[in-house]
Amino acid sequence: MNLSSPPSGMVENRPWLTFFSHAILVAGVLLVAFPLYITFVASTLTLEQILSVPMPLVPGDQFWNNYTQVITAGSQRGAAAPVGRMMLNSLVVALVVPLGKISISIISAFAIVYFKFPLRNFFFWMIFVTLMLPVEVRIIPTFKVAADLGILNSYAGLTLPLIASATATFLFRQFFMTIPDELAEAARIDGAGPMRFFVDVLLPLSKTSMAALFVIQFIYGWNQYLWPLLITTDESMYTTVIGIKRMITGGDALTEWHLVMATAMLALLPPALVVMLMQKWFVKGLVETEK
Amino acid sequence: MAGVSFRDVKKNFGAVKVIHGVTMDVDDGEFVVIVGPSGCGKSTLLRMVAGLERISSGEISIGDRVVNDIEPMDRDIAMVFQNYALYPHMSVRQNMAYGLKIRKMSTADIEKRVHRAAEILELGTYLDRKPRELSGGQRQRVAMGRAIVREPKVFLFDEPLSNLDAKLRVQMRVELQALHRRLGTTSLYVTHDQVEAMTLAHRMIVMNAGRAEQIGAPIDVYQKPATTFVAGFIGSPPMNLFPTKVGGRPVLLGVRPEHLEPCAASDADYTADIILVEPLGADTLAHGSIEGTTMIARLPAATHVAEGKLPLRFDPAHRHYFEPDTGARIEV
Repeated sequence: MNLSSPPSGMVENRPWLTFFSHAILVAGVLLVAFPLYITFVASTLTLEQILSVPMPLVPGDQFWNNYTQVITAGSQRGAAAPVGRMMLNSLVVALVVPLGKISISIISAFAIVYFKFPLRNFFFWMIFVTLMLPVEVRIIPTFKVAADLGILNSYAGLTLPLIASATATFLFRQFFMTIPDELAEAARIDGAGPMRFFVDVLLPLSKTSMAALFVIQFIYGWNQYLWPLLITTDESMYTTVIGIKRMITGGDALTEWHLVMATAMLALLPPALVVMLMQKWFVKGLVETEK
Repeated sequence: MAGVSFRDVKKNFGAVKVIHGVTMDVDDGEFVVIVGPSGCGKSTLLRMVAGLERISSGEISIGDRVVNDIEPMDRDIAMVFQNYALYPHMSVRQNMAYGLKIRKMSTADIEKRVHRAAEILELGTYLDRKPRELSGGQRQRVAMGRAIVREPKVFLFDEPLSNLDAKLRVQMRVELQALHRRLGTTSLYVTHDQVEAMTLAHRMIVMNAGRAEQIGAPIDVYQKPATTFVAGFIGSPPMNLFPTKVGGRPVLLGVRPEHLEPCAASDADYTADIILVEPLGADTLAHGSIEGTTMIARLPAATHVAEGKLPLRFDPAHRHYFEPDTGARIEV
């Protein structure tokens, strides 16, 4: 079906309604896009230009200077760590957290759904109960554990505590429960052991769920603020989101806003890219109901 | 090839007894249908043969080998499920080959078997399609193909035609018969559909509440139902049962709807009060009651019946007597 021409009779042809709905859409886009545009413009100006009133609304000529300075050296007045390193740290967190979450959750969901063992329900509910405790609630004990394990200022410290996930386990459990039992039985008759069934049947069927989780958790990992703030004291382990905060020193005049804005633009890119690239998978997952 | 034998097979889930002891021998190459209403334990019995349910007590053997403690894959069986249970992400070819691949059969041999099965089932042009691109009937064929390629000693069918529409069901039933004639593999087939049971079975097991009420050839079961349950379950519409007395002893008289015929009032065994007439084309069903007991008569299409009084008679050769309390057949 051609989307630009809906079947006649479904949409009424009233010109001013069309105009009105488009006006609302355009207003919505502007509302979201304008601050982003200002951020981009500010990242291409000098500090003096930003502080002048009114601030110019067309991009300046400092694009290259600001971005290279931010990536290689960082802000001079705030925290001086180069943002390149922070981007790398963020990327490690944003990749290890979803991959870790997916692998651990899918295996625990597999155990809970397909194996009968003593206290199975008890363990499921234990996992489920942790859903009710957000990171913030247990952040002090978690920090204590991380400190005792000596993983402060390390990638392990940044990622491990964020990997355990009740939400993802629950999601996979629900998905596995929609897979008919006969599929597992057919595999058993075919001679596939539990792990073989997991690898040959469950994993391929979970592909789209995994992709969706990956996108959500990538953004979750990339946007982490509180936990990295606690666990890192060494500038070389800062993540980008922390980096932005550290650049803002206090007084308006002291903050190098052009560099802050450039960093903000950089911080926007990876999540946006992941969403755009993985979008195809979502659509595919929605169109093909493989069950 | 091999037969299957059940030796006092019982199954309970906790305290609930589902199968109360089934003893039977299925001969090599025989097609046996297990039929009964839902919850009668027929699927459980089949799943015990497959090894998907543990046997609580008793013994099941396939060939000369007791299989109670043998894993499903080593039992030399293949199973076709009601919902097909095809692997959704694999092509038809991969679906059929999966079990053979696990058995580490050579690629050439797998190809050969898959092609032979595809040829028997006319699936040749669909080999590279995914199950979701196939119709219900085609999926069912793939499920059978997956069973055939394993060249098992026994085929197990768990209501394989229940998900198909009526027309396709008839067609697949015929194909199943042809397939069995061609391969001659011992088959156990579970269904709740008495027509499937009558047409497919060499012998059938009629199950009710975990018991095998009657085991026998379809025509024998039809002509001599062992209990009132079997009389009601096999044959459609069910047999009419009238309370009566023989030699002063209360019994239930059973007459099938097709054995009742309209007659002159003077010849009548019974006079029915007909309340509804259903002309089906090939014949006509008359619903009503005789002396307070509801009954159905199946009359030739040409018969003109109206609602109201209808004198009926039946051939004494086609009557059955049952014990009113136990429902057991009484031979006279």
